Amino acid sequence: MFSNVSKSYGRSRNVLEDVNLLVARNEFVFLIGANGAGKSTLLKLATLQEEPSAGTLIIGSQRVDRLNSKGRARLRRRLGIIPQQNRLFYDRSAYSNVALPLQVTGEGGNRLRARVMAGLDRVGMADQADVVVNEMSGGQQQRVAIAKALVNDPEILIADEPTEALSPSASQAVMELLLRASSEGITALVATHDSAVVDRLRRRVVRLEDGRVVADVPAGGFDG
Amino acid sequence: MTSVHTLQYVFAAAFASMWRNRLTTVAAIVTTTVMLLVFGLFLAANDTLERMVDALGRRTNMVVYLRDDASPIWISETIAEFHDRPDVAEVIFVTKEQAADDLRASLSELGEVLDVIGQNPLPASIEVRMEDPANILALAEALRQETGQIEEVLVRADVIERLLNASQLVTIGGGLMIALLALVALLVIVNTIRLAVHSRREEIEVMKLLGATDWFVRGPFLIEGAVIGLIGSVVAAFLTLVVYFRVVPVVNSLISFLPVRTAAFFWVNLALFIVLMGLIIGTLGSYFSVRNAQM
Repeated sequence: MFSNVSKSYGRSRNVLEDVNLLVARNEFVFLIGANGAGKSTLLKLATLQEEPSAGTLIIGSQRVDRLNSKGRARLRRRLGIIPQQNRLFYDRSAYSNVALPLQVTGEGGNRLRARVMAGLDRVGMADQADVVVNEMSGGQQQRVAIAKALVNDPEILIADEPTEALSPSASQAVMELLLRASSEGITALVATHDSAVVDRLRRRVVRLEDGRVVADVPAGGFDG
Repeated sequence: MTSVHTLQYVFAAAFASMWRNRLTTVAAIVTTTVMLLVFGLFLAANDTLERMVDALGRRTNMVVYLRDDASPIWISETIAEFHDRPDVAEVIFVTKEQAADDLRASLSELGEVLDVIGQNPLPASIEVRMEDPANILALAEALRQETGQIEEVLVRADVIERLLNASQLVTIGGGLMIALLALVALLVIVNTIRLAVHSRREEIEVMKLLGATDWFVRGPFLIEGAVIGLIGSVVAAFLTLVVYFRVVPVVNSLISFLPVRTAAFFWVNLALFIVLMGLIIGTLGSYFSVRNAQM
């Protein structure tokens, strides 16, 4: 939950201005808006990469806007994050990339292998486990990024432009994977420019303009 | 099990990073080796110099010439007092007769003069060899007050002062040089690890985003620094032992008066000390690098 959240850098104008946003458990929310509207900043606040300049941020029942380093690490293990441009390690295999979120929690051995392979299987990439990410198509890379975000069974999935630079068919496949994750009980907050996908899926849509929430359309209707 | 897997990951990440940046790693190891080798050899040279100063100091004598009518009780008490001092290594009482014999033995022609004179003009004396010459001037000054017993007190003051100065110089200069070399080795490792942190800043950011704790991210860098320090120091220690087995015998045969240590335990201890220093410097260097790094 974002409550009266503002964010500014130095003395420049607010990148986010008095944002109020409540996302219910298991809800799937699209975050839309032009470049510079504040979508990525909002997601950076949600993933604790930035602290709000004002306001309160609550995840679950925990206030998280002023956590220390250890607290941030603990909370991020409850999140599945697909950053902009996926930020995979391109010189490593799909397996190595998907294993990372589990390795930071101390997972290892056979249990690690089983969970990673299950994660890759979930996105249809189990047979590509040993392929180096660099050698994959954009769509395949994004599937690996989704597997990596979901492998630690997160409560919340946060994705920043997950279909950026993908073909329409690859975009659709990626969105289907995200929707499937949502249907399994994961709350999802997805920033996108892809209006075709947003129109077709008819989920809740929050529109940002100049750092403000200018429209919040519930699932099933669109007036924005 | 969790901590075992974490350790496995941290070690694997450290070695993978060292392999990926192998050129920088090798450069850091070579620099550390050179620094620690110079450091070790400097310690050996410093030890030799200190032993030289020490040996020269022990050879320096103070001679107390006694009046012919000096009291035997005073003489024996003074000799006893000299013996009791911890900074005195040896006290020799030379009688008038022994002084004459010594003169005859060392200068046979002049010795005949003593026979011509018919009496012995040489005074009895107390020769003092100092263990530590620091207080010799004050001691001589105190003895000179005993005008009823003592004819003259001779001290090779210039030599003593130079020795004391040299000793201080060796101690202070040596200490500074050793500290400087340790600092250089530390800075080399700090710089190497900072470069590694910089080249992996994106990886660090991603790991943090996945919920990695500070020390999970820092661990590989700490191990990297310790391994660089360890490898560099083991090579330096090996080369130090090569110097002991190959170079020291040659130096000793060419310059026999140099008191270079030839005991194996000294050089083995020095090699172990170098390894310990390498490990400490490596770990400290990487700790300083990652402590304040944006992670």
